[in-house]
Parts: sequence; C-alpha cells; structure tokens
Amino acid sequence: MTKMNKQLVKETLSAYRHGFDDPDDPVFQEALSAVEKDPELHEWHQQAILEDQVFRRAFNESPAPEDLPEKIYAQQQSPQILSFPSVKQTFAAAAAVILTAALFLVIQSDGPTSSLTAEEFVYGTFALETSGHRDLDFISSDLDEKIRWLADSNAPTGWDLPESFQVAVASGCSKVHIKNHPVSMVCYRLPEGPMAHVYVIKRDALSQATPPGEVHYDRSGDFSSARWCDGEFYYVAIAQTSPETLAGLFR
Amino acid sequence: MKAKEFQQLVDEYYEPLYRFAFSLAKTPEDAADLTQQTFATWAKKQHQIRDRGKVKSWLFTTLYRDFLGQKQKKQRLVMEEPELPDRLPDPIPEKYLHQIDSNTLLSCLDEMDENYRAPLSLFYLEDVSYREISEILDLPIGTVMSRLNRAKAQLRDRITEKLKQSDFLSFPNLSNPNDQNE
Repeated sequence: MTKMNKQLVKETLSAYRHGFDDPDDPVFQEALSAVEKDPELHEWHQQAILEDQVFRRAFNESPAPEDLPEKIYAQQQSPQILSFPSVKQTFAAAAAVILTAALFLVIQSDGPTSSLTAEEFVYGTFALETSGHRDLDFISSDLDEKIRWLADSNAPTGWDLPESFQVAVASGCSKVHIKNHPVSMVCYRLPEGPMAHVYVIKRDALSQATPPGEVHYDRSGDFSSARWCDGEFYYVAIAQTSPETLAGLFR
Repeated sequence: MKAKEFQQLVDEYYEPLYRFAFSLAKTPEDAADLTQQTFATWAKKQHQIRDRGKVKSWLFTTLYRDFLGQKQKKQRLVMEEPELPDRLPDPIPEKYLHQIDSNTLLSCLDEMDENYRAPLSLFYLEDVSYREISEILDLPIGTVMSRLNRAKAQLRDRITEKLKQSDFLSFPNLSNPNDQNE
C-alpha cells in the first residue's frame, strides 16, 4: 500500500465509529480491510478508536442545565390551548363515553345555529379543552390587538373581565364555535403561574335566562372552572389550578 | 402530540441537543435558548414529520438552522477548505488520554472554526453517524468526511498543545521557583 493510500484510509476512518453499525457501511469496508492487512495502519486504527472513546466520553460528560426540561415544558404549554386529560379520567368510564358523545355534538359547528343552554355552553368549553391540543388562531401579548382580531373574525367582543385578568399576560386568542354560536377564547397566564382559557359568548345566544350573579366554581381532576354572567356576556374560565386559586381572581 | 410524549422526547434529546448548541453558540444561555427554540419549533411543526425515525435528525437540523439564522447567515459559512497536510497528526498517545476531560475538550473545540466544530461535536454525540451529519448540516458526504478528518487533526494539535502547557505548569520549580520551598 502506498503512503497516499494509507492517508486515504486514515481520512476515511476519521468518520468511523467503533461500537456502532459502521462496519456494515460499504464506505468503511475497504478501509477496514486495508487496516487488517497492514500492521502500522492496524496500530494507528486501535489508537484512533481509543482516542475517539475518550473524546466521546468527555464530550458527553459536559452537563446540560438541570432546569432546562422544565423550561421547555413550560414554554411548550404557553402558546397552545391546554388540554385537560385528567378531566376525562375523573369520570366513570360509562358516563365518560356518553358524555363525550354528547359533548362532540355540542361543539359541532356545521349546520344552523341551534338553541344552547348555559349548561351546554360549559360542557362545550370542556369538550374543546379535552379534544386535544390545537394552536391558538392569533398570538399576541397585546390585548387590544387580540380584541381587534376577534372583532374582525366576528367573535364576541366588548366584554369585560375582572381586573386580575387585565393584569395577567394574554398570549393569544381563538374563535371557536359551540353549537354553531361564535365564542371568543382568550389564553391568559395568571399571576400565580397557571394558564387559563376564558371563553366568552353573548348572553342572548343562550336559550335559558342567565341572570348576572355570583361566580360558580367546579372542579374536575386537576382542573377548575369558574362561570359567571356579566352584562351582555356569559363567561367560563378553565385552568389547571384549584378552585380557591381561581376564586382569588374574583375577589 | 400529547404532553407525555412531548416530555419523553425532551428527556431523550435535550442533553445532546444542548451539547451541540453549546459547541456552536459557546455560551450556556445561548445554548439553552437554542435548545428551547428547537423544541418549540418541534411542537409547532412535528405533524410534518411522517417518518418518526427522522426525529433526531430533524431536531439537530432545526437547531443548526436556527443557529445560522440567529447569526443572520442566510447561507452557510463559505470557507476555503485548507489543503490536507502531508502527514496527518497521529492520535494522541494512550498515556496522555487520561488527562483529557470535558473542560479540556470543550475549550479546544471552542477555539476551532465553526465549520469544524459542528461536524466534530455531532460526531462525538452518541449515535450520530457521518450520514446523519451530512443530513443535519446539509453537506455532501465527502465534505463531511474531509471536515471530520481536518477537525480531528486540529483537535489533536490543540489538545497536544494544551497537554504540553499543563505538563510544563505541573512542574512547580519551573512555573514558580518559590514552590520548591513549600
């Protein structure tokens, strides 16, 4: 073997990884065969393998920040609608099947507008949350921009949320339909940290009278909801937190 | 993708991605940002990946492109490939290898050109073959091989130099005559 050939063998084997499936790669087979026939190359190759092992181990010893996964999970949650898997888990299996079918019908947007009760509206919001992740239609931290987008989309606007929501960061919004009625949904990060989705529908879209009054709270698994009526609008807020934390927003 | 699957993906890949990011960006903050950005992009676009076997390659490719994007480099770095030396440096002798730790390796890598750092750091991350490196960096296989070759040669030179310096400093009578009296 000429000196040049040896160099070519060495160059080829610079990309070779001992202990992986590289020996099966045709690119390496000729070079490996040459190594077996040449004692000098064989020694070089053994030395290179050992060096690679030390470098690989040293490189993989450098630590990644321990809190990085948590930051990634948190970031991943923020621009998306939360899904509430545990809501379903808390229902008895038989009841869940029936309820899921009913909820699916509620959130259908095909066909003409049909009568909607406040109870169905609340179920509809839960159905949207449990139907899995979906991206927000419009992402912005500017509330005015979001209101403009909702108005342009013919979703309900002009509503007024408690002061605690006004200081919370709203990351985006969507327009959704419940029984073909347009609903505004705004995603907030609450001061305590959890994300909350606030669904707003026009009060006159509901067939049953819903007089303004106190806030009602529900809990299902790790999630809580608050529903209330104010002026022309009916609201449902859902968040992965306790009812007490949610109640703190209305004091 | 459900939250649990996403967490599994993060758990599996955040460390090698962070290491790759660190080798490119050189600061822990930028490396963490790049890693976070990669998973954020994944969350948005993962539905586009039909072949689940390509996930790892997709993540590294995305991180690398984000890095280039952040440097406002719409095209890859254009660098003249230096001629290979007549004789490539031999691997570092076994008796010196035990002195090489993560810090030594990273500081040597840090001094190298980006065109060499990227393939070299990918090569030493578990399971990344030269074919995957070619895919991730969007380079022909031949270019990856020659860059790996040159990169290893540079790395050997730098490590040898550092080891020589550390050997010199390890003799107290040479580095500081007063040490002899302690």
